[in-house]
Amino acid sequence: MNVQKEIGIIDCGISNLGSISRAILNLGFMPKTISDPSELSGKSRLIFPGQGSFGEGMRRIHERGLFDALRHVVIEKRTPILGICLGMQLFAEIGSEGGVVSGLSFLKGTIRKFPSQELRVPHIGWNSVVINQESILLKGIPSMTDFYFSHSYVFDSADDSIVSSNFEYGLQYISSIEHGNIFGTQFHPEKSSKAGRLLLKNFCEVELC
Amino acid sequence: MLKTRLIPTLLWKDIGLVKGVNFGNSRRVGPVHPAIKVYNSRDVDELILCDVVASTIGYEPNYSLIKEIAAECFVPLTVGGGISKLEHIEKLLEAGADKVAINTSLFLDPELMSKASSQFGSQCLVASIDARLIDGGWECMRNSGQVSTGIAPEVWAKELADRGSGEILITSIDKDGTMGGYDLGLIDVVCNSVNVPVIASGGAGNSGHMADVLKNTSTSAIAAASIFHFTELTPNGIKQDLIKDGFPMRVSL
Repeated sequence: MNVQKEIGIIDCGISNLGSISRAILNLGFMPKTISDPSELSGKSRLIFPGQGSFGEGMRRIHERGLFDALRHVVIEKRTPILGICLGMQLFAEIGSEGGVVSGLSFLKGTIRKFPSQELRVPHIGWNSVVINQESILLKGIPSMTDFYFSHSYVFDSADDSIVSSNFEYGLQYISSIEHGNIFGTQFHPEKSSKAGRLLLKNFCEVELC
Repeated sequence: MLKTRLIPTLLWKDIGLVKGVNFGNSRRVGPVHPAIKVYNSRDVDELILCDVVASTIGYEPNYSLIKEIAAECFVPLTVGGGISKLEHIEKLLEAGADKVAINTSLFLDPELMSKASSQFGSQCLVASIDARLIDGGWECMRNSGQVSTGIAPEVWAKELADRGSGEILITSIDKDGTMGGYDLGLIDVVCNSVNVPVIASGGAGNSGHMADVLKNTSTSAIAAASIFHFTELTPNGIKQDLIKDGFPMRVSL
């Protein structure tokens, strides 16, 4: 097996790995589940899917000894990583779901609950994303394409330059981020039809300078 | 802008799909795998698959069936029927369900919703409520509409949302299978009782019925079954009608 074709899928026991693994296989890549730091080595791409709460997610990262190992491969070795939904949120410094908890701190920012009392939360369903800068992840995807969202918390970035797209739900929020080797989507590309498939393909084929 | 979801509902019984009227007189409408394939290729917004007898007979969800279905389903899939323990939810999510719908067992053990939301998160939990009009008031029914509970649907919806359910699927037993339109009053009281998304179900017979429920209630999604089994209408055709009426629907790619 060509190592370039292997995509490490980080398993903290907090997400439906089936969907993302099937989507990756379908693209002609080989998903490899990672639940232990030793399995991280040699993976040229990593995907961190996630659902559930921030506090529980971080607890499981620590429990599996993945905190330092993930920081090493992402920050020092610059391995491309794609966080999906909670996976992306865990890249922030601080989360407020399940108490105030420190995140993986790959990116400057915090996670907070949707502020609106008037709109229904969780934000569930297909919403259009507005692409606001050239993006590796969103290459070939037109602005205003619909993606599937399912979440109650949002990413507040301290750095606007990493935001590649926004969605609107009462106010504007971040739908995707891109910072060097670090990528994230608030929506679920693995459940977002053809556009989601193209986004995952873009990630699996990413070449960093 | 967030789109209104149009969700085909598939009901499973014993060996295949069924559809009845007022939760009775169910007719066989074919095997499940081809139906999933068709909806997947039509790129529907989401799918709901419920086993209508599991809780009453007392068996667990059919995980191997869900695994097979999920393998050919690339749209969000909600699975219901026979869920009474946290372990059932975990196994369904592992098998490939994106969300689970729980109904009967919550009347016996409402704490299940609280525990499930702290373990799996609200976003994958749908509280399914079946209600019928009895003596001028709506009442929740469990075990596929066979057992009265004495609880009003708006009270129950609020309790389950407070316990962490991410969505409420409200089905009118009186309208189910009639294709005569949604129960606007029922959908409206449930929508007004919660701040989570609501899925309206029971009675859709044409796109005009869907426009009615979207105009008259704040439902986030519309579910339908008979319309897709017994008429020539397709999800995309209905969405085109609703777009002409000014509703925000997702155009499938």
